Parts: sequence; C-alpha cells; structure tokens
Amino acid sequence: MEISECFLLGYVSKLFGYKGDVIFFIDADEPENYLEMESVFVKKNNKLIPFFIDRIQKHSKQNNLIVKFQDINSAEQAELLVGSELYLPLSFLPKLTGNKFYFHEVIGFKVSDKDKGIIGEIKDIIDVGSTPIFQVFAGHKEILLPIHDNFLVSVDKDSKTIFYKAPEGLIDMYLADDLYSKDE
Amino acid sequence: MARIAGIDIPRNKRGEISLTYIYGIGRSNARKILATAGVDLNKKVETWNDDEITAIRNVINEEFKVEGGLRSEVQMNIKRLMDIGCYRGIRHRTGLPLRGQKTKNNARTRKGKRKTVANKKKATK
Amino acid sequence: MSRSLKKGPYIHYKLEQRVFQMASNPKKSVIKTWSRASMISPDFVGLTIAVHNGNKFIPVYVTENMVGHKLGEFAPTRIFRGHAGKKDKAKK
Repeated sequence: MEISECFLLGYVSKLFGYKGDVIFFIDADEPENYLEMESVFVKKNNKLIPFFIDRIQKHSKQNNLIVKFQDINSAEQAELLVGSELYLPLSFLPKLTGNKFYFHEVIGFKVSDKDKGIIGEIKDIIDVGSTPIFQVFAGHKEILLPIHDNFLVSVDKDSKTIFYKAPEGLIDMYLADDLYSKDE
Repeated sequence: MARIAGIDIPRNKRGEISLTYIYGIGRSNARKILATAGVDLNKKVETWNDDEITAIRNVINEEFKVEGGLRSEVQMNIKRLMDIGCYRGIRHRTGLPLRGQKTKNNARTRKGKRKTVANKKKATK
Repeated sequence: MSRSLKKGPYIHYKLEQRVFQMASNPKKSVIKTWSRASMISPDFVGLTIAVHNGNKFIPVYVTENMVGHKLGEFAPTRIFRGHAGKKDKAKK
C-alpha cells in the first residue's frame, strides 16, 4: 500500500496502562467514525505496516481513542509505536454527498461562477484564516474564493464542477491588470 | 470538610488560603469574599460556624463565576476564536503559543511533549 | 496595553468611506485594502473584504462575531501547509 493512496489519520500519542494499550490521536473532524476500524497502517521507516486491532474504546478527550493492537501485549512493545503516524486507505473515508466534500477531493475541479461561467480550475485549498479558500487559476491569474455557504451554490462531483456565486467584483478584482492600484 | 461551590476546601487552613482551592478564586478574590461575608481573614475554616459558611456561599453565588461555569466560559471564548478563524483562533487550533512567542525552540507548554520526527537522517561527515 | 477608549476604534478613513458607500448602495462589490490594522466595525458585516497579506489579497467574508477584531487577524501572512497526507478535513 502506497502512502499516496492513503490519508493520515493521526498518530500514536502515548501508552495507556501497562498492558500494551496505546492512545491514538485522531486528526479528523469526527473521530467517532473510526471506532469500528479493524486494522490500520502504521508508518515505520517510511513504510506502511498493517496492524490489526483488538478493540477500540473512546477516551474522555474528544480526539483520542484507546486502542489495543493484536499481538502487542506489553508496554515495551507498544512503546516502539509511540509517535508513529497512522494511515488508512482513501477508500475508508466515509463518502460525502450533496454539497459536502473533502478538500482533497475537489482539487482539479472546475469552478463555474453564476455570472462569469467557468473561470478556472481549483489548484489547492488554503485552509487557514477565517474561511478555507479555493485557490483557482484562470490562466496565469490566481483567484482566491472563500468557501462559504453564502457563495457556494452546489457541487457536481460527476462533471467535476463547483457552482459558485462570487460576491460582485471579487473575480474582476483578481483578473484586473492593475490589481495593486489603489482604488478610491 | 466545608463544601463550597461544589467542592471541598481544606479545613485546617486559614479562610483566605482555603478558598483559593476553588477554581476561579485567588488570594485577592478570597479576601474580597471574606470581607463581604464579614468573616475574619485569619480564621481557620474549621472554626467557621454555619452562618458564616452560608454567608460565604451567598457571596460566591451572587458575585463570582467559579468552577464549572467559569471553565465553560473559558472554553466558549476559545471556541469562538477558533470558529471565526482569527489569528489567535488558528494558534489555538494548531496548539502553538498565541502571543507572538518564538517557537523555534521551547514553547513546550503549548506544544506538549516532544514528537520526534521519524527517520530524520543523521548528519554524516 | 489596549487602545484608549477616548480615541475610538481605528479604521482607516478611506476604508471607512468605502464601507459607508457600500451600505448606501446595495450593489455589493469587493473592497481591496492594505489596512490590516483597521478594526471591523458592525458596518462591515456581510461584506467581503480583500485584505492584503503582503503577497496577495485574501478574501475575508465578514460575519457578525468578527466585529471588534482587526482585518489582519483573518488574513494570515504565513501559510503553513501542514505535512503531506492530511486529508480527512471536509467542508460542512
């Protein structure tokens, strides 16, 4: 299994108890989705090694799960895994429908504006700041569009298009040659 | 044990000190409470009578936000910052210091225990 | 040290003018600004402000609970992409 076909689920954060249980830190929006896992890939020396899981319990901290691996029965064995990253195949992600999407899914999608028609392709998603932002390229020009319910009309996964209603002037602003001119 | 604001406070200490075992009450708030309730600062908790305890409870209930209520208020404030996505909110999300400290080294209080990066090549010369 | 209340919040005067124009004129367009230090006043709510981050303009859609913060707080100047592989982040 290649790392490119997997997503980073989280990492083994520390030991739990002395019988080889460990705590997973799950870096996901909803860690509850992963209570039923049977196996997980642990990254060791840049390779993914599958581990089978005996049982998973919730932990009082929201993003933590208490996990018992098969065949790891002592704290010494478990210690070796602490700090390793955990991966799962992409196909394990729960499917999102309607207007919901994973950020990595929509890269390469076309953006179609209500007034302007197709404006370009999503190259990346910048997930910092107030709202995540689509980074769209129209030729050489970069257009940044906030991902917000007020502007996002719909997502069509079949035709790989996102329908978007940009606030007036936003796209023009990025397309203008004099982006840096001060406007009064 | 005297139970105040839902937790036990130690009996064998002076009131001023003992009240600081409650989340949200430090030395200065403890003094204010005792002054308003009309209890001497130096009086040990074990010598408080029922009237004094009730008076202290009333003061805390009316004028102070402590324990659970205060904790949830703090959490709400943090959550608000994270939801609007301002700089401080982002720093809370990423678990890094908020007030412009350097993170090249130290900053362990926010960053938690060191996470070693697997497989980092040792420099060979 | 917080700003003296006597002075009122700092908003760049030209930016403020533009915002008032927007309010009277329902045709909403985007305001470009370099003034990261300007405070968001209640008049900004619902507007999209393109805040310069030193490199490009980051569109910021202003919501009610952003009032009282400064524009620059929403347009990070450093963008840390995170380490590769993190994918279980979704919209909505």
